[in-house]
Order: sequence, then structure tokens, then C-alpha cells
Amino acid sequence: MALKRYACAAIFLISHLCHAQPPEQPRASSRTHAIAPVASIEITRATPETAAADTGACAGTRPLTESDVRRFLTHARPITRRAALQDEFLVGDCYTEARIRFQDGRTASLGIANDAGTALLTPIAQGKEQAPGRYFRCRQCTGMLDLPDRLPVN
Amino acid sequence: MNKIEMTKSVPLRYPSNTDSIGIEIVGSASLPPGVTMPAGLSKVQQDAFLGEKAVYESVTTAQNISLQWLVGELIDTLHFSSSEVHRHPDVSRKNTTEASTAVWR
Repeated sequence: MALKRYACAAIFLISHLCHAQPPEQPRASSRTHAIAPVASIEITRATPETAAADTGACAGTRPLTESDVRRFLTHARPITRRAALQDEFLVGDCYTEARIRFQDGRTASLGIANDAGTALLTPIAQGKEQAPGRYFRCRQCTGMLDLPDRLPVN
Repeated sequence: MNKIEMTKSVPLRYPSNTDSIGIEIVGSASLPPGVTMPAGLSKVQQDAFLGEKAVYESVTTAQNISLQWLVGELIDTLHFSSSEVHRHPDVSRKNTTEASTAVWR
């Protein structure tokens, strides 16, 4: 059976406006952790890989570290599923994953899309991921695993 | 690359979403026959696999008629060239079947 992606998928046409204004900067937050205070972080997929689990296509990126995850959690803001899967989605992105235990005892997996700077946070209960998760974007984290000589993705 | 481009001003930089108007045409996408999702992917990879490999259904005639009217009105109102209208995957890293059957000229 074919898997259906969207009940209401989007197709875009882009028109470039000559008098567009600069993008609005995100507001600063005084909160240390945008999501929740973290107790511990375990990197579960350190080496970036594509959606089809190909690591070779992610040459030019470095492994995910605990400090990367903390940075993401500090600056992340919630976005809609639609924003994550349509507006911000990039073909050929590279993915990593960490398991996070929050100070309140909850546990979740955080799957990070390196190029888009988005992530899916999926709660874990009784050892199993509980769909649906929540989507986040960290604008400052786009391409955070890129090495200086990484070539553009076609 | 996007960070570098965004330091430039319009129209010198490569257009981003913030410089553009997006037109959405409703349609569903599904994995084509013979394409199956690999085992062992993370949740975020599963989403991405569908986003990359799924194929959008064709735009209907009625949708294309509406699209042609809308693009024409935008061009007349905002005074930009029709050459500045692009399919999203032609200018960004999107599923190549998005808008592949859209006709606005």
C-alpha cells in the first residue's frame, strides 16, 4: 500500500519581489531552555545521514555533540508540522539524533535536520517513541554541523 | 550559503521565502510503486524520506485555470516580470514533483 504523505500538500510558486524588506529577526528570550530544563543527553545517531540513511552524502559534516544539542534546545522555538515538513523542509538534508532526559523525568528523542535547523521531539514512554512529536526550529542552528569546506547540496 | 546570501540586499541575493510570495495548490503525495522506506530510520528521517521520495498527484485543469488567473492578477498588481515566477523545486531544495504539472503561462 502506498504511503500518503499529506492530506493537503502544498505546491509553491515563488515570485521574487524587488522591494522586499529584510527578514525580521527573532526576538531574544530570557529563558535558558526554550523547551525544558535538561538532566542528561545521550547522542544516539552522531554521524549525520540522509533520509535514506546514507552517510556518504553527508560528507563535509561533523558528528553531533552534546553541546550541539544543548545549543539547539536553548534557541529552539516551536513550529507547526506544516512548517517543518513544507516551509522549512530541504531535500538532501542530513539527520542526527539524541535522547534527552528532562529534569522533570520525561524522556524524548530529538531528531535534528542539520541544514534546515529543524527537529522533531518525540516523547518516549515505556521505552517506545510516542507519535506524534512536536516540531521545533533553531534559526541559529542551521548548518551547525557543517565543516568549513562542505560543498552545497544540489 | 543561505547565511551568506541573507547578508545581501534584494535583488542582489538569491531569493528566499521572505523575499517571495508562495502559491499553494492542494494535492496529496504518496510513495510510488517499488519505493519502500528503509528499516531503522529515525522518526525525523521517516518524515524526510516521505518528503523526498513521495510523488505529488497531477494538478487538475480547474486548479491550473485558477492558478493562471491568480498569477496574472499578481503580475498586473505588483508589476513584476513573469520570468520571476518559478516552481519551488526549481529555486530551492524541494521535492521535484511539487508543481511539476502546474501551468501558469
